Amino acid sequence: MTELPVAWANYASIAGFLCLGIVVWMIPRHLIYRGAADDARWRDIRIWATVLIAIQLVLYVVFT
Amino acid sequence: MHPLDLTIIVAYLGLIIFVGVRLSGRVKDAHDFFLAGRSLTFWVIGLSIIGTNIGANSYIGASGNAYQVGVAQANFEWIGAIPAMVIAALIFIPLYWKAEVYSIPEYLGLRYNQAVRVTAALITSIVAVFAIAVALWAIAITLETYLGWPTWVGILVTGTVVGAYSVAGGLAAVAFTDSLQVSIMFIGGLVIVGLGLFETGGFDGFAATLSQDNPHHLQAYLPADHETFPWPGVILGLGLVLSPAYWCAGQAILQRSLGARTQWDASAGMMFAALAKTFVPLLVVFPGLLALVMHADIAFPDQAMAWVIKNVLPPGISGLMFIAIIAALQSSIDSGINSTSLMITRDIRHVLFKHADRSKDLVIGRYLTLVLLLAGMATAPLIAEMGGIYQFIQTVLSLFQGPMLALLLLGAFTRRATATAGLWTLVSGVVIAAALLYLGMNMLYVAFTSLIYSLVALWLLSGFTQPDTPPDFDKLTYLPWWHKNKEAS
Repeated sequence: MTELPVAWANYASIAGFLCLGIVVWMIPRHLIYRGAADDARWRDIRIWATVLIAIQLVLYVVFT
Repeated sequence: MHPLDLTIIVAYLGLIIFVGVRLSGRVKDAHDFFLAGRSLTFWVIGLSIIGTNIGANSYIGASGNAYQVGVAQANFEWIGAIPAMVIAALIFIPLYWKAEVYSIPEYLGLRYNQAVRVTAALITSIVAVFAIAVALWAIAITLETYLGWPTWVGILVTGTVVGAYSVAGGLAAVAFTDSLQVSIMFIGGLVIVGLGLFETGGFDGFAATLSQDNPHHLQAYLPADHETFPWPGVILGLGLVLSPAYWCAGQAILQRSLGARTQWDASAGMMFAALAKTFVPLLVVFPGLLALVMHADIAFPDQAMAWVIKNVLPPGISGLMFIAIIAALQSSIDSGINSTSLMITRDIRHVLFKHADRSKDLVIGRYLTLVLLLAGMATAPLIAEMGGIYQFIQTVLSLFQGPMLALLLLGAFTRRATATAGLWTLVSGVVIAAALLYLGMNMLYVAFTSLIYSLVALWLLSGFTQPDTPPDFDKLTYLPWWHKNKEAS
């Protein structure tokens, strides 16, 4: 384990965030909007999660 | 200290007390006190979560670590937080809402049994008292350093200020003051970033100087054979165990989500916190790197933040940053006493004293908030001598993270896990984690190994045991896809 290259950590993180992005979009829309005041597009927190994941991908690509 | 700094500090303290005491008028019963009458909106929840999260160790310890290891310290805010926060927002918070619980131990009590509920509440409460004491001591030391106040005066003043709004206003006051405090933290942090980059020739100049002297300080991960933060340990231990246990099962964090106006606000609050969390390294990691780039004359890495405040910030702004540190510590204290008070009032008192008068929950909750604060104030001066003990208690808590997460995961996603198997797994998982730690295994690997053991043990033991009374699975678990297929056919 101690011999593993550092770059693999970044690859693993990127792969993990991509998987998380898929999981996020598997959640049905009606569950996301449960309790929301209206069905405005900005209230879809799957979009928030996608933005968040995109930022993380950039960070783990930049700081390799 | 410059008069302008002093004015800003006094104005801040006055504002915090005013906001907190004003919100106390809203508290009519225990529901208002512990869950803010389920009135919190997503942005208050998000900022309050960040305020609770940034604690005694963040400003001083994280900037000191960043001085030593570089950007890798930010993993505690990125891979060590963001995935778990997204999962908490989209999967666990909706589950807790469906279960209509006040606390995470209450959820475990409903899913397993009351013994698991009391055990979880007791462990968390004991550790919380010490965490409160540490935060109070950290504030006292900060006040002594910057204002020359004796430590007992610092503890007394902080305890009085925090007590004034926490005892009177409950979670609503805690959440709103947290939001204010986090806003101050971000303003102070961004000013440091702006001035720091200006002093070091912009981002290019900053990055060039940093990587020239310290070639590995701009890498997100450290080598696999690093003594403290080996990258496999960071991903497996921090990313897969410690972080999910903290964000998906931490009472102090999730209590504001349970106090949300709607389920959407609860989930969106956590997601908003995750967005803010992405930028927390600017507040706690950047100052450490800045001290390195500016060749700070410091004896210990933990002095990096103090050096930056003293040498980079002008009068007025340094007062703001000083407030940001105090605010970070205060928000941890107020969240700690409020959530611990809830767990003792409901998860311990209601279970151990079955005929306890529930109409007295508000009065008892307020008394407990005060008692916990006083206990923290009394313990704080001893922390300097008890550093080893505190570290020990923190280690003991982390031993529970793997087994607790296993109980939560198999409890939430399967109907197989039973109460008896849950208790045995909890006990044996902790024993195995302690043994591995004793044998010298890195804490991050211990966390991962104990999770794997606990998942396997809970799964196997549940095959041989039956639940005393079957819990309300529809309310407490997600139906696995193979169950859905069975029901559909």
